[in-house]
Amino acid sequence: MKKLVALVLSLLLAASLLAGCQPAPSTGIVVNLAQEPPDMSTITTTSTGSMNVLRHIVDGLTILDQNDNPVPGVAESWDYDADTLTYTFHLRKNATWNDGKAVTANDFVFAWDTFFTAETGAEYAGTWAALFLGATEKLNGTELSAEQSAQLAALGYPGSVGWVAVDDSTLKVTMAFPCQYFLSVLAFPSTFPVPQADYERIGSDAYGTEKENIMTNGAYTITEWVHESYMVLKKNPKYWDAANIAVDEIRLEMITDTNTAYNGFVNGELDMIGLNAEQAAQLAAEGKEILHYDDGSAWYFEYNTTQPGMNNKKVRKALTLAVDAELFITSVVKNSSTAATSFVPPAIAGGKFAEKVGKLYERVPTDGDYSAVKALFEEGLAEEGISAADLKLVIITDEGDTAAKNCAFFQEQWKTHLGIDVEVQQMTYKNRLERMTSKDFSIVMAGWGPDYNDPMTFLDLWVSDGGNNHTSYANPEYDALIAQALVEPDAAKREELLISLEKIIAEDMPIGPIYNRRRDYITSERLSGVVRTAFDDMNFRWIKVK
Amino acid sequence: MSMSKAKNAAKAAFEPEKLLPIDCDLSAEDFAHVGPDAERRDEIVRPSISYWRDAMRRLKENKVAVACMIFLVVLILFALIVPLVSPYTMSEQHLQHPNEPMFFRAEDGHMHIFGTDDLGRDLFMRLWLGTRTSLYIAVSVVVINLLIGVIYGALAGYFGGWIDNIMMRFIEIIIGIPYLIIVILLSMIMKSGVTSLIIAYAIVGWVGSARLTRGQVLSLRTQEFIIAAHALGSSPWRLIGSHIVPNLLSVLIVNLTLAIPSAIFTEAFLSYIGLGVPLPHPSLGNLAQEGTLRFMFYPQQLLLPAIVISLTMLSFNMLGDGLRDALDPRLRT
Amino acid sequence: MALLSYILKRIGYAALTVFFLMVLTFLMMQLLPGNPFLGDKAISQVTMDALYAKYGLDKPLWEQFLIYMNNFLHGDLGLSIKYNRPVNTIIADSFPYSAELGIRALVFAACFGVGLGVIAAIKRNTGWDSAAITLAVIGVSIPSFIMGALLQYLFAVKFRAWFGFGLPTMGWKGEATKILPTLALCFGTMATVARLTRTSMLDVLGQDYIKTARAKGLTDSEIVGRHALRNAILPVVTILGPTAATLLTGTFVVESIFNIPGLGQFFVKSIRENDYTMIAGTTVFYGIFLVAATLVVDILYGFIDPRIKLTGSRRES
Repeated sequence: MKKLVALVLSLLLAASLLAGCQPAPSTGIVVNLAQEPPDMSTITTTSTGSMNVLRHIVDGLTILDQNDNPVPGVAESWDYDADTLTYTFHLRKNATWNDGKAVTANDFVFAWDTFFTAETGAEYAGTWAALFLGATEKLNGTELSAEQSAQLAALGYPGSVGWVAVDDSTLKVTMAFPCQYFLSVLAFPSTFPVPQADYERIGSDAYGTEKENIMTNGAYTITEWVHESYMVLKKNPKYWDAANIAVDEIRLEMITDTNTAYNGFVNGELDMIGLNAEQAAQLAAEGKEILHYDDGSAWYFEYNTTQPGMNNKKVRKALTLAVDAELFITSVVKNSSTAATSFVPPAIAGGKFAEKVGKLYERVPTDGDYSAVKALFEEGLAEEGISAADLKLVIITDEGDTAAKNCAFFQEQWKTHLGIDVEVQQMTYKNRLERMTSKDFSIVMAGWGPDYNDPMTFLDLWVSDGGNNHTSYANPEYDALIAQALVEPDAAKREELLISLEKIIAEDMPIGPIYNRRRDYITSERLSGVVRTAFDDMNFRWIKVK
Repeated sequence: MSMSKAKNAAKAAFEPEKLLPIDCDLSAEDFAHVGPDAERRDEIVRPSISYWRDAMRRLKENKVAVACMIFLVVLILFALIVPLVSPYTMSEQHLQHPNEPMFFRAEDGHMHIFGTDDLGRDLFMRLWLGTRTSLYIAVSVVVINLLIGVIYGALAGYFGGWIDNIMMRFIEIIIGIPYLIIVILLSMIMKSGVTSLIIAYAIVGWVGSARLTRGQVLSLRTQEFIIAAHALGSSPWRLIGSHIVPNLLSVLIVNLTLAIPSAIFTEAFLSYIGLGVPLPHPSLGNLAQEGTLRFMFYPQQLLLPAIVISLTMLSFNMLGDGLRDALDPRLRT
Repeated sequence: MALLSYILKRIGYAALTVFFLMVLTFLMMQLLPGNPFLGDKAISQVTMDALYAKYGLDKPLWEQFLIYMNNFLHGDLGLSIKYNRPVNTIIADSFPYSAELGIRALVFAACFGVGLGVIAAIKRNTGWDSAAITLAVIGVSIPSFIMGALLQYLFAVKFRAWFGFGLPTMGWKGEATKILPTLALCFGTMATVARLTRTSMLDVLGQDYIKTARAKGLTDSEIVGRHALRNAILPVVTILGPTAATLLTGTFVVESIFNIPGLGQFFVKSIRENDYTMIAGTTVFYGIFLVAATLVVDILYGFIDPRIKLTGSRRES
């Protein structure tokens, strides 16, 4: 037995010494991507993780700068004709693919043609089709209206869509409506170029699945990809802006376990990790600087407005306001996230929109007295002629400890403030989505992250026939305002329309906004200039290393 | 022993001069027929001890086993009583005192003996309530394993041949289907709760005991005493029940005691999917799981449930060993 | 010869088992809630239809199964819906990691478990015995997700803080990274093996033939080595069969704690993502391992205990 112990100890010791000799990565950085990028084809991807990688290896017409503003990417410059809503992009002559050939306007045309084809199965196609002239019709396989055909012909487009390669380095695009965030969308991976010859050689299924199956034109190239473990990006020396790229190598670890990521960081194996509340508190106590970013997501309850009791807006309002969102943030979320006082989160338009909307409701009643909320609740129930005891509420949520903790908090809040017992049902992610789709729930905690920097990305969720509207909420007035806002060319008038939409949500509360999420992360001291925003979840392009 | 002693006594008493004289006059009338003594005839000098009583006696003599039994009784009492008398409820959140250490005293004088969790819930209360849940699971596991696993395995092993073959292939299919799929499907048709939990466990939980039993029976059934019993015309049920199972017990007991912790943690996993105990109910498994997320900062949140689980398992195991020794037919004195 | 025909027959049964397993899994996975394309963002019906058609999910179930079986018999497990990579490639890439980790854990668990169990049995009711039981019980009571986290914290973080060196927290490159995952994975199995060895060893040591051997003057080690262990190992072999299949084909918990690109992660994620082809592929792969492992165990029974006859029922023999 003694020998055995000695053997094990000496084995461990020898191994540790070996480990001690391993050199720390000095030429590059190691960060935690926290997931395997599931689909790295720019055309079909929907994953934040994939996009975090893609924006380092492929450039679109534009790229986002540190403040989420679109700046020239593959397009060196562009002209805009406000009358015809047409952009003409002039591509860089020195933008090349990793095999050396130039990036041409045709690469964009091919990518967009493929993207807006139903058979491709690109999930973002429906979202972006609204922006491009003729894209919705192409995607749905419907005929263009005579007016649209005339417009296309007048602008000199040969086909039935509003984009064309004028020559190798000139691309012309026409918008379907005066879209103020169009240039930002061109920095979104769905609109990135793809060389047709290579795409067809690799095959649409295999494209973007392995390091050799993806064409890159960006600041980095993939040199190693061990699925579900890590990926290595190496600086592309031929990149047009290579002089301004400071880091030679980025190693992206796919660590899902939060303890492991933390241990790796403490051990100096990782340069950047996300932090949970306890980890942030610990590192802050050790005097480390904790960084935050607003990930742009809003978190809210979706109410099933078809259920008896829940069809009453007073009941829904009481359920929302009975949850002390301030306390939720200080004692459960435990970071700089903010309690929601309207729906569209402050990440949109730099917070200007949320500011204009203002506080639509108080999160905590004066003196913490919830009797008014409870009275509202009972009033609503009385209107529907049911008692609190008949109201069998079920909140469904994802599996996992965070979801369990959140719901345990809500459950107790409703119990103490309204005197009702709400049942919590945890389930797998797919099961929750299925239940939401089939409207088999009373309340669900859901979140939404923005696709583009405009309040519309949130507000259009609650239109009557919206695919993401699980509440069954249908308000013709709301639908009409949305339709109006979509085509309103005047920015000020449009904003007024959007604000009135916010007010309708606050009044009817098909959803109960709770909080707007901010996230904590930390970088090693040698690192500076990491960009993390709602639209640029991880960007190491602007990074500096000491 | 007693026979030879009696002989010695007889030898010692053999003294010729003390014998009656040859001419002693005795006749048949001097003797009276007393008849058979019904009472005495059936009297057996040493009381017959049944197998089970003997086992209990030996178990009682085993100090470690007794200590374990006492520990388990105390544990059960705590699990039953603490939640009843605690000033806190299991869900009550003291959000101003989250993650407090052991023996934390709040301003209002209330004491949290084991501190509080992330939401400021009293861990002493939650731990004992969780113990109650987990012990309930533990007992169910033993019953399920015994009822389904042992019978299934014993039958397969005893009959052998194609019956065994089919029964074992069935087990392979059951283990082969990913448990997660089974569990997700169950979670769609059942509500969370202890019953669902036990059903989810029962579906596959018994196969370990079944395989082990079958392996042992395969080995046992060729042993001489089984062949002898069979030759004497014992029915299969009697053979399995009174000859094979007692010889399996030692391996089975170990297997059962080892199955308990895995069931306790299966519960934690099932609660995750929404099949386990419903929120905000605690169990030792999910307390330990939550504790693991924060043990670097609040080690007591992992250590306390882990210690309760380990000590419970240790006493189950020691008791199991004691039981094994007590039940071992070869160790009878 | 009897053994050979037995093995052939068993392989036939094994094929049948795998087939039933495939049918059942194929049916059950269709019942999983949701579909592979359901995400946070609702997608249009047009796109949904296109995706269903792309992966052949629009065909009737029996046709899907026939196509799947046909491909399977040609050695093709299909294209993963989530990863868009061939399932064959995914398994070929990730299995070596899982297998290496599994073999290490298995060997470690078997050797130390049996050793510990034998020591405990021989030194019964001594401090050795109690220590072995305690270690084993703690091993079983602390599952790998806790054990992994504790080992990582202790040997990677705290060791470095205390002594200036420590093991790496994660990865699977070089011997040093492999120690902690192996330990985390093997502990439970080792403990089970130790407990079973001890108890069945005690059973065997009480048998007459051991008493005879002892009376003949054999030493403890001779008795254990030559007579007892062989007979005591049976229950250990029984549990090691399916355990081997599980350990070798990947264990999600340890792989995700130590960020090892093994098959276990794909296995679990495929179910959560309704990645049907991946579920079917990994299940059949695991199933083949499982039936092979039980076949090996059954054959080993015969070698370990020659009295066991597998080929027929007792009455026939």
